[in-house]
Amino acid sequence: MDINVCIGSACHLKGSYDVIKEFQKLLKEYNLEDKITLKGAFCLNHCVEAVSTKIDNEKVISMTPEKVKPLLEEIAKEHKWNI
Amino acid sequence: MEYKFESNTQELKYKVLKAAAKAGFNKEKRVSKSKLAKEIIPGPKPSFRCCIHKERTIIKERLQIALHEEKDESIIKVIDSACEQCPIQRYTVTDACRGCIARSCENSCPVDAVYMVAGRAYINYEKCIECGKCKETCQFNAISDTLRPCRRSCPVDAIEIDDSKIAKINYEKCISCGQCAYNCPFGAITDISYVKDVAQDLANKVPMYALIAPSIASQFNNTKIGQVTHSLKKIGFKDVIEVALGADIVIKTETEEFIQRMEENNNYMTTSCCPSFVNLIEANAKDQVNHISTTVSPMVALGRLVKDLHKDAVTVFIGPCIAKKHEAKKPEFKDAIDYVITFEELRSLLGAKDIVVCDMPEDPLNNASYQGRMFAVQGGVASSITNYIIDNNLDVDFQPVLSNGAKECLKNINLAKYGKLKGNFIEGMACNGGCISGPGSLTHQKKDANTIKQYALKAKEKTTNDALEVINTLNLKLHKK
Repeated sequence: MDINVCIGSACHLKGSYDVIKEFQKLLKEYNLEDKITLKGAFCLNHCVEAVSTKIDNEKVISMTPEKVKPLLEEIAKEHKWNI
Repeated sequence: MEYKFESNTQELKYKVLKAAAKAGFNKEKRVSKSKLAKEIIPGPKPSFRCCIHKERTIIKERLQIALHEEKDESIIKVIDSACEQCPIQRYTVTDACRGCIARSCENSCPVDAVYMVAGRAYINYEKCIECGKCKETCQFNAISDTLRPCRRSCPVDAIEIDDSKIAKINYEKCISCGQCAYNCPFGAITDISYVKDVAQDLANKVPMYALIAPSIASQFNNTKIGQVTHSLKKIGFKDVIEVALGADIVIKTETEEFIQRMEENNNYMTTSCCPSFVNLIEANAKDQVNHISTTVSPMVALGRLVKDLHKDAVTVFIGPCIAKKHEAKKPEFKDAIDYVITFEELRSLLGAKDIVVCDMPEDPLNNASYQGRMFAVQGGVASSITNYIIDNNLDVDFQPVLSNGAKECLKNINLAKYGKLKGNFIEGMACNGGCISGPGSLTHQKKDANTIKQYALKAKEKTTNDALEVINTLNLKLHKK
């Protein structure tokens, strides 16, 4: 699975680096690094909903560092991954 | 009129490039240059030359280059019909000569080329060696230095004059710095243009990314960078990204390279971000080429980052530099950058879409650190590396020597060659003051350096470490070799 966090200007200013750091931390903690590839991206055309995050080339959602944990837990549940 | 032009030649170039950009946006396959020339030179009276017919003929030649219709892929070209065949003699006696008693001109001439004819000084050009002694000694300032602006501005003596007194570029010597193009008062020297190609791709909805050089900050008068960013997105760019982020990548990579070279007992290393500086060493000091940093330029680093994250991206570098057009065409960098356009071309691209930049809302532009943004100014690269060394507690003796302009660059390389350089690192910038005075810039003012600093201070990330905290450069090829 791919997760792309926007590092374009608007998202950067709204803290995309913090979102990425939180992802990095939790992916390690949950041992998901080989299942989920975390990457940056430039503008995803959802600047008003910064920080834009694209899951598997499909939907773009608005993220904050606080939302990372529930998101990963939901994904893990969906895929029946043990975390 | 929204824009202020520095000169009439700049305005003329704008009109020509704008016509080319319009043709691109309209996806025109065959452009009638005669029709466009009539629109640009409506007549009936000529504005600059002897008649409108000559003016239109020259405009057609300019359009040919602007539309990228020429087969010749040289970066800088002379438009023969526009060259005014300026005098080739360097020193001329003017009417201010009083035929005085002192006759210092006559007495100071080392080759007896100056003598009095009909009560006035006369220079025998068969003998004159252009030393300038007569001009220096004349108390009336009556001898004028009429060296052609193209030749005067060329730092490497690459402009030659043919039998019909038309300027010719010696491409063996040329370093593509573009100073001749900027300095010719007749606008007879110009750079290859990709403005039509870019406009056409934008019209075809190709996913294009604008990579803007940090010197953008001083370009548009009374306009905020955010307005330029918005304008670029409005004409179809998917995103606008600071090349200064590429500079942050370069600061880290180049510092690591420098430390390694010092450990290997190399006596000095040079920067590699200024393409004219690289060309200068390659053409004039071949035996010093191995001292050029193998780290790629910020343009290439950012181009590769964008293409790593977006496989279908088409990258357009927008900057003050003509030599970047040369760099981007090198086979080893073709993967990183698709087009290079100057700020002059950017202005025409926006003009073709009737965008009034100062009326636009602002979009944020914030990718890089303070350090990365300072690359545009002389001394910026050296100070960024110094700060990176301090921030990371690196144990290395870094002694930078700055070179302002191509002539100083060459001087420092020669000093280094003979072990006389007072330092171990040469920062080379071929334009005086750094990229801010590049030939493709819209303004060349003293205050520009301060404008860049103010812009740099607005960066969210203060240091290179901060800017690169989450940027994964592992997949990027950051060395030339």
